[in-house]
Amino acid sequence: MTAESHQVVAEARDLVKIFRDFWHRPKVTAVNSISFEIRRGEVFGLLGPNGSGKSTTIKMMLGLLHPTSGHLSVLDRPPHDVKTKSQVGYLAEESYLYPYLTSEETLHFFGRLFAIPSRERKRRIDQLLEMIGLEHARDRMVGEFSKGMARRIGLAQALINDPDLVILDEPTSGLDPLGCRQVKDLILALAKRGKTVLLSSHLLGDVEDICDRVAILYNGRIQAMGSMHDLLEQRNRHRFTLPEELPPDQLRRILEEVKSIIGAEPHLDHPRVDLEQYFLQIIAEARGEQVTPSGASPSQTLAPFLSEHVS
Amino acid sequence: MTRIFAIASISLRNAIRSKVVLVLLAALALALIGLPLTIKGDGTLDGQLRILLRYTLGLATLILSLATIWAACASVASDIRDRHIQLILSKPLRPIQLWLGKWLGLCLLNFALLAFCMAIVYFTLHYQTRSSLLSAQEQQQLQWEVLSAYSSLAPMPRDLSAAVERRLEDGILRGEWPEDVSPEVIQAHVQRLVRSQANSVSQGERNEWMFELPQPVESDDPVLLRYRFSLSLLDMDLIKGRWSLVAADGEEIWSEPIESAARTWHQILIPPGTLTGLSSCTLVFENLHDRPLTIVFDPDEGLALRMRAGSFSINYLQAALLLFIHLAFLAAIGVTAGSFFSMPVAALTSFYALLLLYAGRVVSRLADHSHGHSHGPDPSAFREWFEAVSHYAYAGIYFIIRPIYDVHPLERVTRAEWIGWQEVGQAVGLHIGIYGGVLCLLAIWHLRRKEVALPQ
Repeated sequence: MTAESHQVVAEARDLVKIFRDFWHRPKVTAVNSISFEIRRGEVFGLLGPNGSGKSTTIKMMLGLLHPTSGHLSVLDRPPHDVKTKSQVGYLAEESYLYPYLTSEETLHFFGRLFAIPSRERKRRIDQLLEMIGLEHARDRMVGEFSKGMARRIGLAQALINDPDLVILDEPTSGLDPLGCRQVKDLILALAKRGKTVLLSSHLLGDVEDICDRVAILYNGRIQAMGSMHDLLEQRNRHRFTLPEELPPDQLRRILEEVKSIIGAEPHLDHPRVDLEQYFLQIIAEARGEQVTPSGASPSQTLAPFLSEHVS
Repeated sequence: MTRIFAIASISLRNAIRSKVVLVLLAALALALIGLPLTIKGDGTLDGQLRILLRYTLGLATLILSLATIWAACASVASDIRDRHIQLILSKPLRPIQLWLGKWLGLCLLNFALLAFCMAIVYFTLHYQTRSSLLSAQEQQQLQWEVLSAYSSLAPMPRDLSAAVERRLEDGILRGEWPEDVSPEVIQAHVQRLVRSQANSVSQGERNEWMFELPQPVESDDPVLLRYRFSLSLLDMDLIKGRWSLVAADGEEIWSEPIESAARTWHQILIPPGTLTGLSSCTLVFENLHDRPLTIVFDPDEGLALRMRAGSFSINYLQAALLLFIHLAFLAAIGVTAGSFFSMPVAALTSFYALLLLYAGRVVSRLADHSHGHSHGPDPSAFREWFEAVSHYAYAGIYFIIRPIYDVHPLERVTRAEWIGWQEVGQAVGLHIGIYGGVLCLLAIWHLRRKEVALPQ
């Protein structure tokens, strides 16, 4: 993973968000004194179960909710500043797109909100539609889309302004494994290009695959925070991986040797590919036989305009 | 502007897709086609044209007003409800751009619909008055009385201060004025009384009103005498009398006997050329009724000479612009209400505002009469307090709506009353510039504070 610099893109200090009832009495403390920093070029994950405060934190970073107390800055400015928002891309946890707009109209609409000139907007839309594999559905209304297709359009609108900070709330929700992998690859590609990505998810596999650092939230508080390596490594245990398959008698001799040294029976098994890898392999083989895709056409390329302006 | 137009296009599409708005637009089409076919008025072409102008367009405007309010409230409130606003406000969009975009989208829709309605009525009007259907005399009368636009000239005010003084002193000598009524109230009462007397004509008598003509009247321009009176007694008969015009040198230049009903507007055509070259004239009325009764012309608007001020088409266009400004103002109310409240509450609030605007005269009377009229000999403290609160509430509402409620462009076009570009400009400044601006600022203030992503 690529943490390119230590420049802070977003910072929260003692951030608190209390939701109040109609009479303004405190009802729920959704975020309880959390502090974190997100650095340029990293993929930062907010991990936690439902109701842990992930989306609330993200919405405060977008200026859609106001912190009750504490400090929050995004790109060195307050979150509600329009200059901040012009450098941020946001994918919401659900499709909040207008169902009666086509894919192309949707992207044009959001492009116009960033005041992107018409010709440039059109160029970006073409590239984004190709990137998300929905070129063939550019004239279809978003309301007719499956959840996965709507998610892809949501992702495209989040990238139309070539943002410095991409905030993705449950980006793989509703996507099939293939779509999940593509989105994860896309996030990694964005990070490689110097973009900063804030990702919220409760899918642990997704976060583990792509995040440089994570904060684990529960009950509005950060329970653990650090790099994936630091958090997951078990420093008191070791694993050997043998380079090639050994004959059984050699393997037995190795095990006996290890047992004589450590005084205990070592554990032996075969390494496994994870299910996602296996699934992708099967689909890749099947794709060789099947030509017409039913939903989104997969594309592995990042939209070229996203690569042009590396911060 | 790109951002504002982006929001405007969405606002427009939202409004067009709203089922309520679609139903109202269907009602609009029915009003435009059905009403002129079903209502025949008094059987005259003149009456038919007035119905077309006033009731058909009036109903169309009412439907457009309701549709505008509904669509305007929904434009922001439904975006908040359906959470589209979360994506929109995560983009670099200022609250003023959001408000202006929503408002502009509705204005564009209103402009198109109103232009369509006005064009249909305009062409229907001209179709019904085409030359093949009417005699030359009927055509000319229509041109003069309906398809034209006049400005009203009131009589020169008379100095009644001496008469008021005398009447006050007489009342004091005769002990007529109650001690517990303030002198200001008595004075206002006496002024009204004296003004009514100065505009009354007893049986067998005559009264005169002086007019100063503001500009030389052109020879082919008709002049209309417009009047309305009430009677000292309840009498259902037609009242007999005679109008005449006298030039400054004392020569009678026109006269016409009349038989008119009380409490209704009447209009007499003074033939073109009668006032040509005059700078002033005197209007005389003789009460020739065969039974003793007194005729009282309303001192404020009971009597006027109407001078041609412009063409019907231009006046019609000005009326259309006033209606458009009115709809734009309603859109501003709706968008602001939708920023504050959820859809049903916003719609109810806006409809209430519309009701207050339409009932401006009632509110003015409530403001006048809601204080100092305690019932019973010993009103309770609570009642006094309640009346005081009601009075100030109505007075406050009236203070707010007073500058804008009294705009009735269709009524004025129907009465062939000239509107004028100045009034259109004033309406733009007042309805859109000041009132719309205040509503916009309120919405911006609220949207800055509002948390649009609260859990629902």
